Amino acid sequence: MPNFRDRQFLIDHIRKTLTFYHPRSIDPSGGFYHFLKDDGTVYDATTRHLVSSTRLVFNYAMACRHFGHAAYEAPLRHAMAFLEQGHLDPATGGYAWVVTWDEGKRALLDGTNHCYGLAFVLLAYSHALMAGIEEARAPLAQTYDLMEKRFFEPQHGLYADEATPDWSMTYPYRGQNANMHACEAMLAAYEATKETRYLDRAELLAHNITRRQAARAGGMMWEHYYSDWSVDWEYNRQDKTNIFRPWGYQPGHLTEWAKLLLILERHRKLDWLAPRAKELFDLALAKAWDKQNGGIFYGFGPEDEICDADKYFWVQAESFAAAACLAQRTGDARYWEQYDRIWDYAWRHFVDHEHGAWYRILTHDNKKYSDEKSPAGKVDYHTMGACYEVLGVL
Amino acid sequence: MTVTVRDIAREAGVSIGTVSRALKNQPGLAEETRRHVRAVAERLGYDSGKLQRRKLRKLAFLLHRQHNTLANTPFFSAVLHGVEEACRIEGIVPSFLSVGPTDPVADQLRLHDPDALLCAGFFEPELLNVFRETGKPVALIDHLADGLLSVNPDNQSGGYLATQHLIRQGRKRIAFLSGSLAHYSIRERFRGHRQALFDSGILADPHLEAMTPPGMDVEPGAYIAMQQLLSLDRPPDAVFAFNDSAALNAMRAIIDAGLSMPRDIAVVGFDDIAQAALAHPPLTTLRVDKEELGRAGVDLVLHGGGNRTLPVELVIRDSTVATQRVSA
Repeated sequence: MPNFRDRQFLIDHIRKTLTFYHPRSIDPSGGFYHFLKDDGTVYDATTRHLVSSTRLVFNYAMACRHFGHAAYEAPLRHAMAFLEQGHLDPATGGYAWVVTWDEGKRALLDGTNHCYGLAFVLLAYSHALMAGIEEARAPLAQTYDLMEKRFFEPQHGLYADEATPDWSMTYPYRGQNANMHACEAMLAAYEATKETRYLDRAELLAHNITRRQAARAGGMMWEHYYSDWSVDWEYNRQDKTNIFRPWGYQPGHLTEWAKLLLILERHRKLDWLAPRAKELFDLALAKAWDKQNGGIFYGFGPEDEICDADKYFWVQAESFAAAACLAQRTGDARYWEQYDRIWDYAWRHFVDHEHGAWYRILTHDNKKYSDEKSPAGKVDYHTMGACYEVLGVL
Repeated sequence: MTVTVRDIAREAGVSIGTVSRALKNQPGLAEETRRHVRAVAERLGYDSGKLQRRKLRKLAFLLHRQHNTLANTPFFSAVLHGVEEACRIEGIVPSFLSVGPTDPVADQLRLHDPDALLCAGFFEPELLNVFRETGKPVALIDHLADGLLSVNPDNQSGGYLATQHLIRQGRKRIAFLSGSLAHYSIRERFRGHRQALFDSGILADPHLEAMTPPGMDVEPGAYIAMQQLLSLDRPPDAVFAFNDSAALNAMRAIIDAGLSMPRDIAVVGFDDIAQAALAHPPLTTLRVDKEELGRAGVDLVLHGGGNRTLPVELVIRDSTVATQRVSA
């Protein structure tokens, strides 16, 4: 086993993961191929998902900052350009959820406006700006303004979730996921611009989700809510595999929040942040660590029952990042042990040592479901992002 | 009977070609001859609208040499960026010239042979006259002068927002760090500042108005002006500087005096140049869309219309509001 706390190990791992996607997924006619098999074969060349398009900007912006602009600035600009070329609707200001792109010909597949998507647009422009792409400054502010106008509800201090393509109607569903990623994006926007309004918003979202909303659902963050932000215990109860809105508590989101709270604390020393981060991480691992086969389960219900025993790559990645942040913050060696334990598991089961990058979903006993390494939305943003985060605290 | 080019040529005693060149402001004749021909044309009542105007192909972007310094580069290079972009879209070739009041500007311009002039920042009235006398379309960016089209950020609202923000933070002694009031933008920012004080019932204390020494660059100038403010018997607890470069240099003076921002003194700039976010602490300022100023300038010089004012936005950072606060 490698030393998972070694900087060089993490840098090498990021490089190897990056090389799985780069340069094979670049589409010279615009954007990137989003669907890759385990060996890197492109199995859908035309479908483009906003979540992948934005995460690719993040991946290349980080690559620019860590591995140099010579190799990665051109693909970063290529990735950023596609947000406008492929996704932006100048008439509505929105970014299309799914489009097809065939040799430069764009067609709309799903124009729904998702707050989750805009959070990633904001994250993408923030990281592009931090990588020195000055052209990202204006769309960064425009995206914040758009979220403010279309999704933010000051009476709740949180963002609504989804609207029709022409913004004529906002759906009643409310969720924590979009707000968590909005918080992540606000922190990045603050780091890129140092504008206080972004930090204020990050704090507000963090408080309202991890304290207020959690208090309404047994001390942990439930995923789904009605439009007045009362808990919706039934949403998708029958559809446990819904990829963006699964039923149950999500241990991966509890640990991801732990990480975000500690990032927030770097900029604003609020006394509740570190204790709450610790609680959330400890709860997630206590309730969802698989003592038999290793790894963290995907979901558990109100009775602490494991409702989805699959293992998702991003849950493991976000959790080792949170463990490292907590280890550094608290000085408690127990968190480094957790960090090593999660990495050890991921290294055995998730990392593709032959082709690079991580597998996406495994069964409870760590068997593969399919050979689709990166369908829409993955692009290993979580795994590389987690490694960068650890590099920052080592 | 309508007056033709032939009539003007006969009356002025020059060839038809010379008349045409004179009226179209094309090169190839002495300036004296051009004036003579134009005077004759005007006397005879020639309708210059009949002239087939050459499509605008070349645009000279002029900057006063006093602006063409390192401290001013972040602002005007962003403006130039917008100018270049708009020109590229319109198929116009831009050129860049920095001019001073003692330069042979007319000669320098002849080398560029522009079809129109776009002038950014402050220029002395004498220089503006030289520009007018070329007879070519002229527009101003970040300046105001009689008879010339211009585009400006909303300086007065910006000054108002800056000082209002400081008042709302509980600041009692708010200084204005000024540059030369010959600059339209600085006059307007100052006016906004005073209006905000007035509306809050605060008496404007003349001690709290400091100016960079005349003729001195903003870098040493703002530092010295800030030192003067800090040496007052009752120094300010906030300062609104006329632009970001001045604010950043004022911040150096504050740090050198051993004071802490924003605890002892809050600072606001103007323009939101890239360095504002990178300062320690990051600088609260008024965001000006500098590229849009450039684009709007090109649009004005091409299509005319009225004077324009672009909105500005208050961007709050740590220089006025402490981020590191501890909650209960």
